[in-house]
Amino acid sequence: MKILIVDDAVTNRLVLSAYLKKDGYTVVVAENGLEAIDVFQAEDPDLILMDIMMPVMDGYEATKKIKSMTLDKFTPIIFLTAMTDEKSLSQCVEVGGDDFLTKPYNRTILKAKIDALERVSQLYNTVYQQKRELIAHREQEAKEHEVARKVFDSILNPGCLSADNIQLHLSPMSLFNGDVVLAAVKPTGGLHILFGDFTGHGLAASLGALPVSDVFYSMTAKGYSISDVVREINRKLKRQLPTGMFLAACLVEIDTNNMILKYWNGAIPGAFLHKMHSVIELKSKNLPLGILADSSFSDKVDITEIHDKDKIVLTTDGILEAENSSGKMFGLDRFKKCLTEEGGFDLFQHILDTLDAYTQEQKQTDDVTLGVINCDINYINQIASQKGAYKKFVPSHWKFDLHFFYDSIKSLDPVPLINQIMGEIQGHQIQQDKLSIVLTELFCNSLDHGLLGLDSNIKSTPEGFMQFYTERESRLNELESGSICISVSNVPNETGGELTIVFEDSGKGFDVNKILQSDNLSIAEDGAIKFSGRGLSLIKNYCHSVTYNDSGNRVECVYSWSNIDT
Amino acid sequence: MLIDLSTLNELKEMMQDDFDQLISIFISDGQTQIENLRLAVDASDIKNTQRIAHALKGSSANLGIHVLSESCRALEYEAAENSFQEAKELLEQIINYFEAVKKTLEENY
Repeated sequence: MKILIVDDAVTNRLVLSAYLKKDGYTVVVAENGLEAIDVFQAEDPDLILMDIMMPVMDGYEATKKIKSMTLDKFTPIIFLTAMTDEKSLSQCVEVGGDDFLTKPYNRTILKAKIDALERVSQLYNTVYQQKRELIAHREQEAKEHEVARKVFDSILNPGCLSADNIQLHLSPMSLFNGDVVLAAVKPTGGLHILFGDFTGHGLAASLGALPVSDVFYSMTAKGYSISDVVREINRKLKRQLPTGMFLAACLVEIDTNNMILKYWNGAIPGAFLHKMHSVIELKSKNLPLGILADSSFSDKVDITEIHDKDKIVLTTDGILEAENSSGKMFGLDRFKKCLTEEGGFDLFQHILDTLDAYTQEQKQTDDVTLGVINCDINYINQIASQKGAYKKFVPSHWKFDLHFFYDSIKSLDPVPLINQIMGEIQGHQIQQDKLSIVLTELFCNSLDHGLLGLDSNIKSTPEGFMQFYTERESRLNELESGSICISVSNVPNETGGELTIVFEDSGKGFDVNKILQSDNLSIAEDGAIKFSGRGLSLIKNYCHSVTYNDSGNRVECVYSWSNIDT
Repeated sequence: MLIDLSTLNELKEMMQDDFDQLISIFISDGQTQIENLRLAVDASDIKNTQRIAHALKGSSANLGIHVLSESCRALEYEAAENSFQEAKELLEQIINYFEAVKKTLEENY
């Protein structure tokens, strides 16, 4: 422990030094207050013994200065005084002295006072140290938040949130209150918007935004509908988020081609369509995303007509829960009333002004996420065409052929591949669920009965069913020759197009007339698909026409589709 | 007793070589202080009388020279009261004490 002695009398310094050195302290000295400040800065002592009456600068002045220099470190100062009047002693405390010692010095008392103050200063300095660590942690956290915010911003915002028809009030810390707002132009024109609110707060709540934005942007860019997008987001969040964490969300699609608004609302209370003279609530009919399993999830969207310059108003519960000075919430009723008020003002600003007037405190709006989207049809069409990454898909003429040989058939399912190719060409305007069933049945027929030569009649009993699949697997393994050629072509029409799908296998075929006849018969009799092995009735249900060649190894189906965006 | 030798002996034991220095500085400083004190008292200078008496009071007390320290305390008080008649008498007493102390110190250490 290092002690600074400040005294103008040499003898006093000598005596005190002797005492302190004897007790094992390191001693530094100064002859007056001014010198004490210099020595203090240079030596950083742990304790100061300060005389009062000194030339140049007295002990009171020096103590004030030193105490003002040590805001984050406690350095006790003991006044050395030959004075005993109360006024002088109280002045010692007033200027920041921690104790005083009267002359003549008593070694035992001196030592006791130094020990006591050393304990106090250890306590203080531990507190200061912890305070410094806390400040450092806070600064570190703020820095990390800033970095995270930048990363999130670039991931969450490749869309068109900055478009002129979108007015957004986002808290600067919106990322960390779990709110998500995404917007993207559809490749076929029109706009997708997602307004979401994760349960919980902080960085953890915001992490869920990453998969959401990933699905939203990539699926929108590929031309999927909001039904598909919302289903996929739900599926992904259900899988990825921990129990108890979910996303209240409202997805809307502004379909500029048909002047309709499609929306799916899962637990967002503040979603409205603001029309010239009325307000329609876009009611929530669903649970938040990330709760239901895919099989119980409904992706059904509601549809309502829109007109040019209608406005979609979306808000998370921040506005509704904003409190006034007496702790009462702003609430849904006030919010609705605010929407119906007319007066030629900007709706967005009117909502914020009304809220400010209610809460009387500007900072309340920090927790508010509000979006007003103007259904300005011309403008939306304009930004859609500006987004270079987006293609406008129109039904067109095309054809592709795929040849699969025996070894590739063993490991490859051609149906997703065909869907993917069509999606690239036609931008997912062709609804894939029915078409996938048709393609799957056709492929199975070509493989099972054509290449593998299996008899579908085996499947008519439960035992046969098992036998069929065991047999199928072993024949597939042993397959050493053969191929399946698939050809898909499209002829566009006004609403979509007509696909011609041809499957031709290298098998020996079958008696076409017999099978077709019996297949038809089974449906006519009891409606059960008795000859499900060929699934022909299913195919016929979905296709315009199904035609086999005479040898039964080539089938041609015509399938009509209409653009799902129209 | 003029000097509390136990204090001085304790200091001598602790300080060893530095002790001689302490004594010689005390004597030479003390002589200077007393000369200055005489000038201040003769001039009835309250402030300087107080200041020097105060300093000598402290340093003599530290060395256990209580009689001298006590006289300085009295002088400091009289100066504050502007009682320079009494101050002059005290000064004479202090000078006598100091000479005696000096003699004792020089003989003993």
